[in-house]
Amino acid sequence: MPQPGRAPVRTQLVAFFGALSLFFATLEYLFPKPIPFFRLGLSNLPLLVSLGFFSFREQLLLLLLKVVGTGIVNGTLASHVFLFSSAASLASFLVMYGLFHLVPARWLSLTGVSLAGALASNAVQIVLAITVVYGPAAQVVAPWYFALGTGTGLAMGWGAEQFQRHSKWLERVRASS
Amino acid sequence: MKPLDWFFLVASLVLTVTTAGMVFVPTDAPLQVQLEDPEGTFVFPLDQDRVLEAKGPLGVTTIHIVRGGVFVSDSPCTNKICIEMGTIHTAGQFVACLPNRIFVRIVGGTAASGAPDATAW
Repeated sequence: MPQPGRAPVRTQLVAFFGALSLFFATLEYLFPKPIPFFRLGLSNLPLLVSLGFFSFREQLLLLLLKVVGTGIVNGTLASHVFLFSSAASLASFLVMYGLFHLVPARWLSLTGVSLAGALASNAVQIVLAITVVYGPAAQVVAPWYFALGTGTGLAMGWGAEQFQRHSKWLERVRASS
Repeated sequence: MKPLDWFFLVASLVLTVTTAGMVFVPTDAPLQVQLEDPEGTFVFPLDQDRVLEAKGPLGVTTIHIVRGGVFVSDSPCTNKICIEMGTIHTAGQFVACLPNRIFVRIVGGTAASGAPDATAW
């Protein structure tokens, strides 16, 4: 049973959203990957949806849960692949959090936030692929990453927006937190 | 969609087109296989069948050049995406194994008419 008081409830909420991220990361295995380590970004949905009511520290904790959890699920926690995806996730989060809180809602919706996050994530991955992992030849992945990232960024943003707009559960969570 | 949503959508599309224009530049050079592994960059003709063994941090990735196509037949990585990517035939296509740090791509001339394309998908 949830204990009364603000902090425990939010800690549980962060943990719950973290678990959702892991669930979505596992779901991604259902979809074929057209290029190595490209992700649909399903595990970003809880991050996107919670932008409106989690504090920066809570969002960072959720990001940590997501990154470490997906590293465990994917079996990449102890490899350079983990640093690769962590850097991309952090860049994406900082861009999304900054835009969501700095830009007025009349100018930008979750769709744009998601698109910008996908752009940041893919740009960081391409730069790391070229400078750290493979070398200049990896530039050939750039158009594929940006093209696919545009599609998935749009889809995730639209999905998060619809969920925020219509979910009674999220409404209750927001009201209680 | 709000004004800045459109901005980020257009920015994403512009980046896609710009990087594609930079990467997929047609040349008259013969098609070659460029292999990058932790030991360096190696180039092989696409029209000569051979088996390559690239050493990465996880072990040896086996790459075949057969009848104008390139594919990975064996890799020590866990997810085997590089094997699932299948055979590539045309300039600009690539096969990569991130865990084992192996990157193979075809460089040089544009695809002959009638050749298969987008097999990386």
